[in-house]
Amino acid sequence: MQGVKFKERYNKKQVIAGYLMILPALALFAVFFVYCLVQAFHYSLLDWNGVGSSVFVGLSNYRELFTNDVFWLSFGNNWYYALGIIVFGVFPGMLLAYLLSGPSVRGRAIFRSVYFLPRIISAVVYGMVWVWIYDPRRGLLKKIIDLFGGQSIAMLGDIHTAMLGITITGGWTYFGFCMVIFLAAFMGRDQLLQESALIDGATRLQIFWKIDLPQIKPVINMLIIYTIIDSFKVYDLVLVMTGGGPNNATQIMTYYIYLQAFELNRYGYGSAVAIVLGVFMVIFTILYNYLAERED
Amino acid sequence: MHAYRIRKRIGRALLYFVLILAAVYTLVPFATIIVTSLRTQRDVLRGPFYTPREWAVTENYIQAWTIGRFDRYFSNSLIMLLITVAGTLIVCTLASYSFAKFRYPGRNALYYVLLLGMMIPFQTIMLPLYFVLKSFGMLNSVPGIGILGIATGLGFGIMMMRSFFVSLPDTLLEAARLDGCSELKVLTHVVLPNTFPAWSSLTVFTAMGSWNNLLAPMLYIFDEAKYPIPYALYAFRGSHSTDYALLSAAMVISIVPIIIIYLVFQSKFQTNLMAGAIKG
Repeated sequence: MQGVKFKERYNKKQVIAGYLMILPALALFAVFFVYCLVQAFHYSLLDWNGVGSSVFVGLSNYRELFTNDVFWLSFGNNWYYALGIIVFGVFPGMLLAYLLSGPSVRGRAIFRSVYFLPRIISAVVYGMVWVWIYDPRRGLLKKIIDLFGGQSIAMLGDIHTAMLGITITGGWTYFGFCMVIFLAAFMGRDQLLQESALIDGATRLQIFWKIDLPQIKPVINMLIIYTIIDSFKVYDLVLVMTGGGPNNATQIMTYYIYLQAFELNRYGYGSAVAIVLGVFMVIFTILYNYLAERED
Repeated sequence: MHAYRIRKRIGRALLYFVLILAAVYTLVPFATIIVTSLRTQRDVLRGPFYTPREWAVTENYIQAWTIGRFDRYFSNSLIMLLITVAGTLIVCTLASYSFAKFRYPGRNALYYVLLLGMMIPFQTIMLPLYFVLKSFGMLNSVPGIGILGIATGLGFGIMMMRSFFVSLPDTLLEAARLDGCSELKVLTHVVLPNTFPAWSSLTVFTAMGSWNNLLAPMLYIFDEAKYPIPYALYAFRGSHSTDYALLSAAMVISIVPIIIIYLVFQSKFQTNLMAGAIKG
């Protein structure tokens, strides 16, 4: 009976072809994700240098990381970066999108393409150029400060400003991307609402706050969650600009994992940090998907 | 009425002032490397931000390409990109077509497991990956890292391609089947000719990720001769940190291919990067 039912519901050819076609993807997934994830969790319970024998230490790596200052510093720096990107990337992007969404802006396509450019190039390239810009003796920033007669600053060399410098560069790569997302949202808003508000004598600012902003609020929510996810993946930029220094002032999670495992040969501890990062990211990704689906 | 018109003019001027200012801000780093790459090395000794006096149009490019060995790094990057892009297109197309159009037990469950998997960031699995790659002989190998790129892009590719195939009407396939086409023929003659728009989106996204990838090559490639461009640039700066002209030429070389792809596929780039958010 079961067999008949199966035959009714499925076409034998389709079942075989279907499984065969997902096989390559499943094989890659099983080897590179499932196996590695299980292994990462396994390592996180060990005291192991990656080469020699290992000792099972239970949850003590996790206990260590939650009491480790540099771990919390990295975690905090990732948050600093995320919030900074919202200030230097998301808000300017929203402003530019708002300006570009006006009815008769000339060169909209050109501005759009230009703003987006930084997003497509490697962090190694823009990271290096921004290091030159920040150079306290020869940099562009110094020249601009000199122009106004201010005091020159060592942006990346000072523990108080190094993270700010990285974040400004991060924002530079990000605002054009946000602009594209916001532009689509602004262009899709209800024009009639705006016009009737104008007739009723509302000012531009009032319209922006009371009419435009609520309409694109779902997009803002999504973009902020996206920004947090993206910010916890940042790696190249910090490596190129400061290498986590000075004195761990710009240490971030991914670079911290790299250092612990590959430089200090602490595979167990590094894996514990990696698992914590993974859990954190999965939570935010689920939140993002939830918001994205509600948006649709 | 006159006052209103003046106010409107000022508003317009202010609008373009902000837009142009933002464009200049965006372009300064690009202009810096382009201009610096065209100056003599002696001229940029004091740094890239002093008024240029001596120009050398091809010198730095030739040096970066030959002495700096960027010819080799460039081809390493290209090989890696071709393997990753071709593999991603094949694997993701097959799997997504199966997920979208065939019916078999466990189909949806498997799809959601794959989606869940792609939420795991690369950084979480990068340590065990080292040993997996080693056991497959993929460590310290350009094609090996290319194949790894297929795996890390799976989730995004399958999600994107599946939503494309779902939008393809079933009646189209049924008609071909009724005409006596085999499943393979339906795929090659009916489905794939319609797939190019989705493929070009996926190609652009995958190509950019591969071309700019620094972390995986840095962890898993050890021979300098096998470095792809971003890692080579990073290593090159280590030994030539004040060689501004040469570094700039190398940087321009490294961004030209991706900028060309960008200009050709612009609209696809811009819409797809958001979807790539969830890629691990």
